[in-house]
Amino acid sequence: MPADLNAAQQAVRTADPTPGSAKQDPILIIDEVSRSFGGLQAVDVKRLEVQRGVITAFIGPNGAGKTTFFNLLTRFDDPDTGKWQFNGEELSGKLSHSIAQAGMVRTFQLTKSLGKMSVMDNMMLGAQDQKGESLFSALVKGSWKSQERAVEAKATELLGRFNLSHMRDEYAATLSGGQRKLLEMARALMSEPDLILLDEPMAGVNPALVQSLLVHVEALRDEGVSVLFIEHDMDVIMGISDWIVVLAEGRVIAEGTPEQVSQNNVVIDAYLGTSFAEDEGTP
Amino acid sequence: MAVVRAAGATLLLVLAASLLAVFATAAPAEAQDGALKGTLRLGRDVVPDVVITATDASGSEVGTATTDADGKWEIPFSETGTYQVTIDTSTLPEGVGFEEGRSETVEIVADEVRAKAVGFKLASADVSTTIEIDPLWQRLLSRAVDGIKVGLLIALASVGLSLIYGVTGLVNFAHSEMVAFGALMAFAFESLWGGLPFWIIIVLAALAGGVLGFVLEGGIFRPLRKRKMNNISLMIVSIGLAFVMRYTLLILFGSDPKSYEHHRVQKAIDFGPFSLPGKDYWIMGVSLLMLIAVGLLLQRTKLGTAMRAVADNPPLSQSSGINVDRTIMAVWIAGSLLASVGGAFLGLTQVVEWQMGEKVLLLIFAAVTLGGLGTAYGAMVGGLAIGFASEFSTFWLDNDLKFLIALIVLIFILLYKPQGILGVRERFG
Amino acid sequence: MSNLQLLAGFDMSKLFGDSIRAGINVQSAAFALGAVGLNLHYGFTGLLNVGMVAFMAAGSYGMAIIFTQGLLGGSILLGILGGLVFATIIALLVGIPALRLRSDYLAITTIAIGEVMRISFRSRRLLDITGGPFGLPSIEDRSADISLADRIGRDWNPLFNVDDPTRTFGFWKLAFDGKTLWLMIIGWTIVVLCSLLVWKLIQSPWGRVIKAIREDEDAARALGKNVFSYKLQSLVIGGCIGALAGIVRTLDSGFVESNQFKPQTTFFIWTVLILGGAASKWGPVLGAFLFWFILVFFEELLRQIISSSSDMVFLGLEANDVGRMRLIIMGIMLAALMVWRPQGILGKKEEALLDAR
Ligand SMILES: Nc1ncnc2c1ncn2[C@@H]1O[C@H](COP(=O)(O)OP(=O)(O)OP(=O)(O)O)[C@@H](O)[C@H]1O
Ligand SMILES: [Mg+2]
Repeated sequence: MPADLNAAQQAVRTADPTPGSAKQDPILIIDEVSRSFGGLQAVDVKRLEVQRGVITAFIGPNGAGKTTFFNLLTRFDDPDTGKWQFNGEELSGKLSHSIAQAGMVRTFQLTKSLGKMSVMDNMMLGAQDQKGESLFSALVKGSWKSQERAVEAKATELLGRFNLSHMRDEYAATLSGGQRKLLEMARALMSEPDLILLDEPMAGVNPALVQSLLVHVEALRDEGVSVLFIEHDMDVIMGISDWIVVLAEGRVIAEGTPEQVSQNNVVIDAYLGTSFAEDEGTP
Repeated sequence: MAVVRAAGATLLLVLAASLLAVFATAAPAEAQDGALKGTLRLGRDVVPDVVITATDASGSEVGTATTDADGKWEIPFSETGTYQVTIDTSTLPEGVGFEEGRSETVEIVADEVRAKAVGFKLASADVSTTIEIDPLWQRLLSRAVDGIKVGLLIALASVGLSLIYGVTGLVNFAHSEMVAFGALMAFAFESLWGGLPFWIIIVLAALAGGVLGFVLEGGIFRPLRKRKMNNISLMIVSIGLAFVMRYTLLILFGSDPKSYEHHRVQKAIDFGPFSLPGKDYWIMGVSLLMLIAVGLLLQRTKLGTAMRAVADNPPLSQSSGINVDRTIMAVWIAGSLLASVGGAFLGLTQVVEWQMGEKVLLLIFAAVTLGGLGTAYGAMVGGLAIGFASEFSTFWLDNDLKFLIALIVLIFILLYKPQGILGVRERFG
Repeated sequence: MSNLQLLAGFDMSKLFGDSIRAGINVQSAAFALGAVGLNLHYGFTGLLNVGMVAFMAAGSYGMAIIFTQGLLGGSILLGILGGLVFATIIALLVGIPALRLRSDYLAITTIAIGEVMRISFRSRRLLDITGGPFGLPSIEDRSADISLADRIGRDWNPLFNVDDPTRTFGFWKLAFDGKTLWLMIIGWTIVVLCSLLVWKLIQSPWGRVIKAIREDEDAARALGKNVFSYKLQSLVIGGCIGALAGIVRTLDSGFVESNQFKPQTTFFIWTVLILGGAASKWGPVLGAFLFWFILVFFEELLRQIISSSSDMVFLGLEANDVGRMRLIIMGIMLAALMVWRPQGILGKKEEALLDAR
């Protein structure tokens, strides 16, 4: 396997496997990001760098603060302290939509499908820089018609990849839970992000489809998209990720390649030792 | 971004404040639907605490008023006609009578429903006697006491709205109609059984409010929740309900402003630096006790714990053995009961009419937002603050403009602390 | 007395004629416009605007004040523009604090601003501007001595004939004088234009974002849409359409008075929208017709029943209760529609069912 690694993958594998270690070409650099709820310190990340062009997994026990951390990075929640740079741009002062526009797009653990819109409309919403989305050009169909067609073609292609073609004209609310996960991921990809944050994208998706999804995620990486994803399924994580970050009680307790992390005693104590066994029961 | 937002916010506040300033500095007249009004004067001095009554052509009473610290009084009316306005001479200060050829009764022909000035010509037997007007601080103090009174009543009326929101997520637009309901029920019970002591009348009005809460939750909102109607749709239903309630009250009770027989006229009782009619002590005392009781109920009883649990997480509390439906029902009953009592008491301080609910709606919503939607204590604090601020503001502002104060508070809160002073920030995700 | 006899006592032509007349009158066009605006707010964007009347008041008073003050040489068009500007300011005033927050807060703020505007306008301190409690009984340019009613109903009215000013058009109960018909044409034309404008917007990518916000604003935000800005745009556009509703009504009546802007007007507009079908293209139009038809029909029916009964009482109701029943009937109708037919007449049933999932 090491033979067909791309440059970025090789680079990350040589990084120092300690929390907060420097990466060769970081797409995202996080400093001192913290958030507490009342007395509970949900997130307290001193420093974290995420390598560009690889798949980074984010793991940790339930309630470790993973989702909260994503919420903070995408400004769906406000951090108590902290700064983070994305593509060299300071993002901490920005609002959610600007962060997405900058190329860092997320999905949600609890899916947010736009129920009373068709699956196709859900997809087309994801595309960025649409002329027709500004009030005045909206009234002049000529100004956005051709772009609309291009967006639709791209959406059709992505729906095919995610096995949703047959649902394109249905209301999104009629999709099953797993299909919604797929739709949400496909929709996020419509925006052509540089970094995509996936919050448990595989939860509730049937095993056969998980395999093909994994192939898509790898394909994404090979197209140059960086992926940061939260997942509990250790097989998935070990199989696909280039780098793993372990979170417990809001702190980064370990980082490293899959091999390094699975042998890390701290991680085994905090997470793998107890919940690896539990996790096997649930797909 | 934060700068832009702060600038925008400041701009809005400046705008609102300048609006207020325009109102505060322009001509000092007042607007009213239809009102007989005036300022009772003796020479250059004003005469407070005199009771004035208006009756219509058929001799039935339209309303009464007591002149305030500035000698001002006002009795609303809603139909054109001829009115007799009479001073209760027993309430005049000693040695004060009427100018020659004048009497305690003045006849007014109201050809339009609007403000009508009514003048009495008072004369003093002993010309050298001058009536003392209260010094500024004392008038301020009496406004402040009025503010506390209204604040307590608004708090009573608001708690239910906030609690219902807390346990069900419904913004119940019909809640303020409970206030009118309570007042009109007290009025109805009093006219039915005038012999009963007034506190029993209030208890009956409270019970009627509780029953109404029971009926609304059991008959309308619970079944609709079971149909999985979302809260936005339920809110629209509650808007419809508000109108049904308001206009049913209108048909049942008519549009003329009323007042209770009891406690219409009361001599002031001195208490320290201020002197108030006895009923005011009662109103404030009982309201305060009821608010404390609600607090204790929430903190100390099983039901209170259940309420807080349901407000926090309904499915979880269901699975941990709390009867969610029963808890919600309890909240509806308690909330409606409190609003009814608030209304019944409010009827002691102002006219009783079908539009009472509409009139307090703004104050109640501002109070609940200020305190934090969904928190009982927030509604209490918010109610006190809004009631006090709006009432106290009438020292400088027109009566109607107190609503502007409520709006400004509302906008301010939404801009800077949308979760309210006692609310917690919403959980995301 | 058998049913047949009972019916025989009724004036059917008045019953139906008056109801249809009310359904197509200028007032109905104004309500349709209000509902078109509300449709953009609630039907498409999911904004809970329960203070539509504030925008109507802004439009009416804005136009009337500019006209009466003679600021712009008695031009109606500039007056209308003034009304729209005023409505925009109100939309911003409400939107900037409330649109960042959960939808309930917008409901509270809009109902508050509506009431505060009404109360402020009737304040005697504004006597010279708004006419205080008396309103502006006849909207007249004080310097040029032209009245709004004359200008729109005579000077600018192609249907007005100097030689025969009382000439009517139409037939049966549906005969209208030249001024009314002219305003009906203006009113319904604006309704159609606004409906088409909203529909065109909704069919565009802009509309897609708007609908996405209605469904889940966090999802829209996560996809890089500036939700706040879109909501504000929607609030302003819908608010301006609401202002046009007030303007049409004022052009017809020729006067403004604060009592025309009580909260119940907002609530009528909600009923119109829900009846016709929220998020549908022509729902507001059909809703407005049906709303007035039903309202007048019930009122007339009740009136006829009461006057034909021997003691002038029916179910305890007397003649002067009839107008009050109107709001009760409407309240029940709104609630019942919400429960049993939330999609209204023209809305999509499937969509309403999705809500219950
Ligand atoms: N808005 C909030 N208010 C209060 N506590 C919160 C809030 N959001 C999260 N928490 C708490 O913060 C902690 C971290 O939650 P978070 O959802 O980030 O966990 P997670 O790592 O995503 O867990 P899981 O794997 O179960 O999804 C939890 O203890 C949670 O209860
Ligand atoms: Mg999570």
